[in-house]
Amino acid sequence: MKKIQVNNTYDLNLKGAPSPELSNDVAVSNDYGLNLYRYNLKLRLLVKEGDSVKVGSPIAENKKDEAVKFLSPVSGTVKEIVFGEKRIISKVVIESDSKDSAIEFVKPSTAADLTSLSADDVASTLQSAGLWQGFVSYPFQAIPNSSERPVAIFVSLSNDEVHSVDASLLLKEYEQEFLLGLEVLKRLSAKVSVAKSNRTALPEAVSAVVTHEISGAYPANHPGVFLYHAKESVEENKSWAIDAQQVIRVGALYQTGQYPTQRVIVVAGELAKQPRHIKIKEGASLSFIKDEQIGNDPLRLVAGGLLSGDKLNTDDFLAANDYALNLVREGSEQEMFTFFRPGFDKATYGNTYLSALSNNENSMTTSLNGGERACISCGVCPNVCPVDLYPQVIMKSLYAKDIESAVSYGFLDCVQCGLCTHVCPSKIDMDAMFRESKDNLWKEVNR
Amino acid sequence: MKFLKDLFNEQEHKFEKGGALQKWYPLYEAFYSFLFSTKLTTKSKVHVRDSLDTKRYMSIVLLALKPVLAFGIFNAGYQAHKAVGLSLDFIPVMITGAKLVLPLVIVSYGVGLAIEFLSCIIRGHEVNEGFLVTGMLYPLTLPVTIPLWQAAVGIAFGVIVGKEVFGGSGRNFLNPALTARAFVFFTYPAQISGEVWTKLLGTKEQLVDGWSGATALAVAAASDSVATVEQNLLDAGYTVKDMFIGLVPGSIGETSVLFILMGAFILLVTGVGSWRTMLGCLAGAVSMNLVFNFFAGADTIGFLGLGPEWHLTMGGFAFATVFMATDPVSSPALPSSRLFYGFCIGVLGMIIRVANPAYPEGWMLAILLMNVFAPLIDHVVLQKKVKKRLPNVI
Repeated sequence: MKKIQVNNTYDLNLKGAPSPELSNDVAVSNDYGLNLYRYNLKLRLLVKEGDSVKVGSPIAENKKDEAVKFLSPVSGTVKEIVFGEKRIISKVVIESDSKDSAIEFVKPSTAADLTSLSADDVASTLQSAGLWQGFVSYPFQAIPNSSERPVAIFVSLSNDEVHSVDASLLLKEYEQEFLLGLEVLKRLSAKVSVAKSNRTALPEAVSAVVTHEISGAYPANHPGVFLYHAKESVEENKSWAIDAQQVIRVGALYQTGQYPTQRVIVVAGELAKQPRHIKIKEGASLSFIKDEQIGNDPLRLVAGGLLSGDKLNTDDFLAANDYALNLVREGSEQEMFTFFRPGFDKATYGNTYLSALSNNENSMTTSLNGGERACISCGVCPNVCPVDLYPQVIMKSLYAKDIESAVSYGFLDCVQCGLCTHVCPSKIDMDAMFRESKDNLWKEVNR
Repeated sequence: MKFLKDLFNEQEHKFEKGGALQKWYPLYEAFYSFLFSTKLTTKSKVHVRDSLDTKRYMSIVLLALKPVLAFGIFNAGYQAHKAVGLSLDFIPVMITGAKLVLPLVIVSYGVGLAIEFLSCIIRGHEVNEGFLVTGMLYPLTLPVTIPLWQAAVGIAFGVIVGKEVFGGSGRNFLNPALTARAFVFFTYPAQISGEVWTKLLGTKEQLVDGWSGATALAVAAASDSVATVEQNLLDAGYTVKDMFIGLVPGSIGETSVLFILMGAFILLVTGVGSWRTMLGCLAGAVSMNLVFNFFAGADTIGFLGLGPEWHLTMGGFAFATVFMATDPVSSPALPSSRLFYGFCIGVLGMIIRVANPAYPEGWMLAILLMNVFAPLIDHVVLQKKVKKRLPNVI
């Protein structure tokens, strides 16, 4: 097992961490759905309102790459299709008939059955079974093109973002599926690397397949950071990454032959009544969150991590790659003279508030905590960049629309962990800026 | 305080776009955000933000400057009283010092803030809190003898040319406080040549016997030979211990190494001041000093022979290193270039101080010169670092 030490990392220490038990007690409504706008793709609808669908029926496909499909997580009827601005397909709502009749994509197999499969067999199965988008292709962190095959696949088991699923819990529950899924990946690429955090304890069978051990705080175990520190050649820049739960889905597909819909997520955050891990079906309506919230404070529901997730509403649905639902207080009380206070209760990266003296869990809201200013070169952001970038320098290049310089400074190694934006005292949204520039560049390259 | 918050919130619509007073939004925003923390919330995928903002950042520097200012006030009064033989008790000295120093601080803040507000209204930007630091640093670099109007012209030049023409705090490439100081230095050499920097209370006849008022730098520069320079300094009343504590004539904030070290401690512990810059400056100054000592001989000027204990405590070295060179905006951006940047400042500052007869002190010019070179240092260091990466080819 190779060891990787990632410097420049930072763990947020926030209240509302999930308890390490897995519960099954969430009562969700009968409406399931897909928030298609979140994929940021041009999609073609394959169903109409009133159509009946099965688990695994294709709902939409990517217009530019029709093999990439988005499938129905339940059987039932298409209840409503909601369009957003510029006729973008926003949501597809499906009313479940609770029968869960499913399409079979592949014969239920064991590891022994896989040896005869070629990379193309696996690819076409994963594409038709809607699991292709579980892969992230670097450096653009996009869904890989259906005709591409990966140079190498990097699997990161632990997710160290604040309030996310505990990998040891997940892999204990789905050990068989994971190992089968990993065998499938090995059909797809000759080089599959698996990393775990030094803080994660794994079942023995899973430990045996781990190739790298990563030490460091968030985002040391981000698949992109793992790729950055483990890559050996320029070609590997274009590797793919996949997280543990997506590998489990691949395994589940081959084990049952059906589209896997079960997910483990955390419901966490300071406003969560009972922060915990739950089993839930993909596509579930998030209306159940209303019962999970403490009090009636203005709430921001974040699907995914607090530094990289999407803001959703309670009428949205759980996506196939969401791993957490964070309940965080929206806005903040306006305090007088914040900047003169000792600040025992202020969550902060550096030592500018006296909270630095204690290890207590902090509470954070969605407040910007300051006004937007020009960059003052304070030099904090390079201290939290896990891939050794100088975010402030890249930000200035991109501000001047000088994308070539930004790329030469390593801009495409950025994994969008959000830490530079989080710590910036000038409140510059580098994360959004980098995403936008990458998107534009990706569009240029893939025209 | 709720009524104050309500008052601000009720009036807000008038200052927003389309409101009757929209031109005055920067002024409104400045007062509102000075009093209360922001209402703004995050909009992107980074949902929580750190509690540190530029206001906190700048107020840490102000906090670090407080001991220096307090001692500066005391010392200004102390030197003035000592020159004419008045009481050296704490309270009368502080009162005299406050009378001498506070007007300078008020003028600096008043004139500078007026310009800051004006340019923010013209540009439609929010007011930057960076000026709160500039407005405090600038008077601390001045001697108490400077006429107030000259101080006012200086800070006006510093803020306009050093900062606002480039777009405000964060976009300037020169340290605005030093730009202001340099302007005063070159424009009014008669008042600021560094000969006598003690305020004379009363007439010359009242001066105590043997009082010259010459600063340590002036004494050292006037010494002809290496053999006599230390004795000359001791004769003029300068010991290393006195200069470390700071009860000597000089600019308001620069004299006390002890109190500046307190400020340095605050800056270093909070991480607001770059330890690399400070270390670089110290290393640069000491190594240049040793080079000078090596070349010092019977036929060289006396200044060459002074040891580091003298050079590091006299003049503006400590103040420049801790508060001026560490200004993040005009420093290079990369941590490793800051070390080199500091080192160059140390070397250059010593050369200007010792080898150049035209200027009594070198740090201001050394820092301004290195400010200009900062982007170049960054560029070179960055290219070196980039070569170590596996490039992304698209």
